[in-house]
Amino acid sequence: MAAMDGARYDAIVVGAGAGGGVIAGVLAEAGKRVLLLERGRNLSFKEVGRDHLRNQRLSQYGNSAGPDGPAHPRVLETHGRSLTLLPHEGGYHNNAATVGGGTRVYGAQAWRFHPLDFQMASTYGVPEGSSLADWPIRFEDLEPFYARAEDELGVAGDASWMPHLPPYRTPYPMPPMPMTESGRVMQRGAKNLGWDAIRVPLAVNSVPRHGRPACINCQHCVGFACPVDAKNGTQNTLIPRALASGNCTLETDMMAAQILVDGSRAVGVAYFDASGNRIEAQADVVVVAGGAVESARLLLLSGLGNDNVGRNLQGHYYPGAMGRLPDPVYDGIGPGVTTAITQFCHGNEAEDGRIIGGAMLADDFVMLPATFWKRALPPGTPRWGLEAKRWMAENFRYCVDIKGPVQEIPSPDARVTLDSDVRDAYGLPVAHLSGTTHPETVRTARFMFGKVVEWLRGAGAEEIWGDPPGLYLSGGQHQAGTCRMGDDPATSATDRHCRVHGHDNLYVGDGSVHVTNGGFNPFLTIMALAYRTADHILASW
Amino acid sequence: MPPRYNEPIGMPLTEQQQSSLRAVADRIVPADEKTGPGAVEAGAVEYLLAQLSGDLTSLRDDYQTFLDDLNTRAQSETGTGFADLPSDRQDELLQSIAADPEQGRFFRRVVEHIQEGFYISPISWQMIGWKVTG
Repeated sequence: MAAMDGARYDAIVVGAGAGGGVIAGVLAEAGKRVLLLERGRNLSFKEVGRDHLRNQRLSQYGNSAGPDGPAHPRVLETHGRSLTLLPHEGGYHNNAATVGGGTRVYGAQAWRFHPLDFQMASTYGVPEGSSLADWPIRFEDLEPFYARAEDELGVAGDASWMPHLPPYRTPYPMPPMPMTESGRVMQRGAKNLGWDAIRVPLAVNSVPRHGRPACINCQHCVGFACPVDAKNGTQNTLIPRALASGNCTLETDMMAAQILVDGSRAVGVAYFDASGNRIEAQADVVVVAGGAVESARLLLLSGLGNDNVGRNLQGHYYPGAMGRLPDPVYDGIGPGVTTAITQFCHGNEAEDGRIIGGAMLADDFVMLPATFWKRALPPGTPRWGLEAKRWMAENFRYCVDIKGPVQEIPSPDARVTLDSDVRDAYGLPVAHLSGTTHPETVRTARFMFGKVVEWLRGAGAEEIWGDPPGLYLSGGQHQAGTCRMGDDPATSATDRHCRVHGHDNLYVGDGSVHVTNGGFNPFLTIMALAYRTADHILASW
Repeated sequence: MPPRYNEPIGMPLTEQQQSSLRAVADRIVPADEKTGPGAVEAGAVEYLLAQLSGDLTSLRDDYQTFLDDLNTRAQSETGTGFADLPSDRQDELLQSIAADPEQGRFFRRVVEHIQEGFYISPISWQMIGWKVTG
């Protein structure tokens, strides 16, 4: 069934990504009639393609999983200048725009956050100028929903050895993905240092499951769609279930323009189809799940929410380094990320005092040659001529890339607002991004950079290169924080059930609600919260 | 699946400019016995020509100017077009351009474009040992 102007639903979910897909699936299977709106299209494997210069990992000339082209600009305010940017350009802070959202093309690292990630302010205090805060809920509140996401989505990992977390009540539904040579080398490196190396949980089928095959270990995982559909996102789990229930209408190529309200009640959504026709649909419940930039923008376009909407934009700082090992380590076994260190997520002490938070560190995905050329060469390596070519020929297979997502210390000035000049193809003011993270994030990132170097050295790396990051605005594919949860509307945009303060039936269902973003890849937490939110919606119907 | 790029619309460079570009590409990633074929054999010139009718259309004029200047300079200094110089003379000329603040900036872009064309090619993948399965 196709959406019609004036059509009525039980719920409208804006955005078919990690959070929106879960909420649409749970509501539809519970018998609610759901309209799921997605700005992008339902891209096939072939449409996403394998272009090494136009993908969600290296967007040199475009994004293969959207958005792309001039229809969706944003403005970045940086160093006193406002830059109008296309989606593939640096500073745009893009995530994918397609059915499944980022989960269509992600690396699928399926981490639970650390219990202390929910209690950052009470653990560390609040640095001056930061908006660091505790979540209104605890790890224990999310734990059952983590387990549900791991099961329903399908995660491969080893739950028996996750020493940084409380014991799992249920194992992962699939054994870990295959080990790689670089993973073995880094495991040995950890052992040399007396560190605990653990397996990286991945939302990838290590064995056939739910009618889809096991991973074939190709080299185009992160940034690309899976050739055999073994990578698990909402596009091949929750959204198909929603559609199979007969209760969900998925409308793609639809750009949400405004949340419609009657007093404090959300009553529907106005959106544009691809031809620019404005359509209005009515519903009892509205869920905004367009990612931390676009969800905040939609609330601002609708004039809804308090002054905290759009603030505290954060993603992850990624300190990382390359190491050149004495023997070849590249074996081409994808996805490639296998081995992690989680003992430096908290409790870190530096010479100049306590470090706030930390990060999980891991070996990285198989790197494409063009990406390696652009991002991974040691400083001073010639960029042309025989020497440059020989460097690649003689070193590529000996290198390991170690990095990790540093939990950001949020700043209220890292912010999404509406740009006063630039409009998108639909005539809507675009997102204006400004501010930076808090300087404490840089301090933590520099500390973790030291741990990256230590690990590489412990693994026997002969040469190590990389730079600790400076101060900038982070967001990108791990974007979060712009509608953060809290009990006090003075310091939060949504309540503990992810409802926009002041609106009983308007929910935010993506990473926007994260108060802090953990020292881990965030999608499993987005999904766990989405399950919890969907349950709350059903319970309070 | 081969890398995808836009098909050329009209030819962005004259034949002489193309032959200079081919010679430049051959010095940016030379073929040699030890590491095998270079940028020219890997199709980097065709990649760049397509890009000059695609994502890099706005650089057409800059490329034409760069290649014409290169050729003029080779002619005036040696009496021979750039493409016909021996490779060590070509390297010297490119090194002096790379060292020039103004010209060097554009040359670095040329280098990146040619390297892109090389490293999206299976020929480079074979050289570095990057395999493709699935």
